[in-house]
Amino acid sequence: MTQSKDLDASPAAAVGSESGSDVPGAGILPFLFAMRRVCAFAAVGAATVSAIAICFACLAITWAVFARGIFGLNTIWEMEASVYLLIYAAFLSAAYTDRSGGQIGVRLVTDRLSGRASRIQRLLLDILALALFSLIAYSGWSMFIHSWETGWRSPTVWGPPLWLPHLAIPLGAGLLVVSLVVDIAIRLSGGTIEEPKAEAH
Amino acid sequence: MDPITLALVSVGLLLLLIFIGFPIGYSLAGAMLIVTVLIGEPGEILYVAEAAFQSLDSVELVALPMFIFMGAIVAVSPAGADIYATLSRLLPLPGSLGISTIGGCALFSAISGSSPATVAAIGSSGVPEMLARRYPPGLACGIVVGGGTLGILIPPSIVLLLYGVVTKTSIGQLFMAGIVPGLLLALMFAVYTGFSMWLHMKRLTPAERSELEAIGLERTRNRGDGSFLRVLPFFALMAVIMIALYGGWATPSEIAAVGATASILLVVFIYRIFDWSVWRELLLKTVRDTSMILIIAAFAYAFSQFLAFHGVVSALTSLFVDAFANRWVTLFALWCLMLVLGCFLPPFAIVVIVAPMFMPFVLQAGFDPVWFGVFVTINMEMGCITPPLGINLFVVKAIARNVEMREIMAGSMPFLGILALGSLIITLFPEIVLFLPSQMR
Repeated sequence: MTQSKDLDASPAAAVGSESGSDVPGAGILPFLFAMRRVCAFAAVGAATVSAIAICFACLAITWAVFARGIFGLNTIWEMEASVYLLIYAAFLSAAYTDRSGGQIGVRLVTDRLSGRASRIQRLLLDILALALFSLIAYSGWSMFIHSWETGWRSPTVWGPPLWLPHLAIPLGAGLLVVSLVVDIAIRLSGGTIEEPKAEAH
Repeated sequence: MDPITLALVSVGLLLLLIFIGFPIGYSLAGAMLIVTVLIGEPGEILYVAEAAFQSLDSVELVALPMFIFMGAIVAVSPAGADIYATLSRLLPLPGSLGISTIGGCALFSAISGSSPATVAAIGSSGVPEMLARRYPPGLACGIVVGGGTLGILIPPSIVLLLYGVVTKTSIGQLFMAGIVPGLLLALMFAVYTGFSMWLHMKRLTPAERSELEAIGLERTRNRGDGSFLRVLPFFALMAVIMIALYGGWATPSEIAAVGATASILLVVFIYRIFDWSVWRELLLKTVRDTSMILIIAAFAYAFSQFLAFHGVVSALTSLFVDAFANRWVTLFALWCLMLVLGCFLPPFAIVVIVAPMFMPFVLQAGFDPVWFGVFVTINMEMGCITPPLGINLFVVKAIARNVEMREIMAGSMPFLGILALGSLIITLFPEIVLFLPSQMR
């Protein structure tokens, strides 16, 4: 199975093409690549938090099964908390997944393009993704503000405030938006970003 | 816009976005948002996050990352190699190595929910071994490509799980329903493998045949130290899980969580994998797959809700029912459509997009939703083999770099035929699928 490189490992390789003063906007490229490293670092950090969330959800549910089966305890928060943890896992790691090539798509066109055409296609796809995730981030932010201001709670026995899980979407989508903006700026300034390899699923 | 035009525009846009290379999950969201604007409801697009949140706010979906996690844990351990080494010792005859490989795929499918993972786990020891024993390269690769498809049929299965979530069908029943058809397909694969090796041996000269047998004996003696005892706890775990599911003592999400936790313990205690870099890679892979599949699931569900809300699903259902007077003809049309989609999209993406759209038709035509789930899954197994996106082909190609892609494809085609035959058999005899789930409480 092909493995894509980790984001934190690849910027060094990606920086390879930042030289060349004849490229327009070359002066700003080192700064943009530094920004890209910061984004990659944040994305890996968020993905690590997601991994912890998944592990915690496993343990919480396992605990719930044994607490109910062996000790006859009522389980109140475990399953609902796990659902929210996984929503966090899905969105917090969105930037990491996207930038490390984990989002699968059809590569029929992508694999046939090369050189300039390929760079333009990558740029357009990034701009489309930026438009989409800006909307999702904005929409998620309004949802969070709404549940924060109204003190909306989940209608269950446990009843946690819903702004907690709602916050996952603007956080995750926001991180992806920032990463996309930096990558688009690099592409527009003439820099090249190494494409992560597609993975087998 | 009338429902049929809306259906054409939405699906057309979706396919366009997918084919220009936009990730599948994003394409679903993008197509839905563009169509929302086109039909004159631009204000609605501000609620996209709510739609995504509601899709993911589901207890059943919790099982998904847990099964992915469990599969990833088992995949980093040498469990696949152990299963393989044991089976190839049990049946030391030349023709039966291929059959052992099929058996290994079936067994590994019971601890993993994904097809490419099964191909990688069994194929990485199976393909080189079969090539070393002078199997025809096409057949050697085809066996693993075909056998690996069982990963999504024999429970636990990521495809059946997603099908259950999007169509609100009992996941426990779906898992039970996958067992007998999975074993039946494995048996058919094995019979085909035995038969083609027998044919192959018959064509050889006596000298070539005795040389081949000598290689077989030589390699059987020198097998590695893979031990089934080390894998046994995984199967004990899966047996307990299946019994708990069958008896209705625990939900699939609870089972998946216990399974993942237990797998961590087994890998740490039996295989003694403590290396932090291995665990880090494994966790990041789990997170990546989880995020990718959940984002597809979130927007696929929102997309199908959107289509249902605007009357598209009911219009399509009546269109299907009117277009083909016979429900079997309609079923065949659906089968062909899914086969075409299977050439381009990964199984779980097809299931989350297509299953909710077809469900009303399936119910109206009197098909059992559990049976249809297995029918769809066998169809998705075929999608794992069909080019250009037959994922199993690429996984095997990565293992057997010296074998031409053309040869791998040719060797896999008979297995595609067997899967098609399998769909026909379960259509003619639905009891094969429905007997076990009907016995559940």
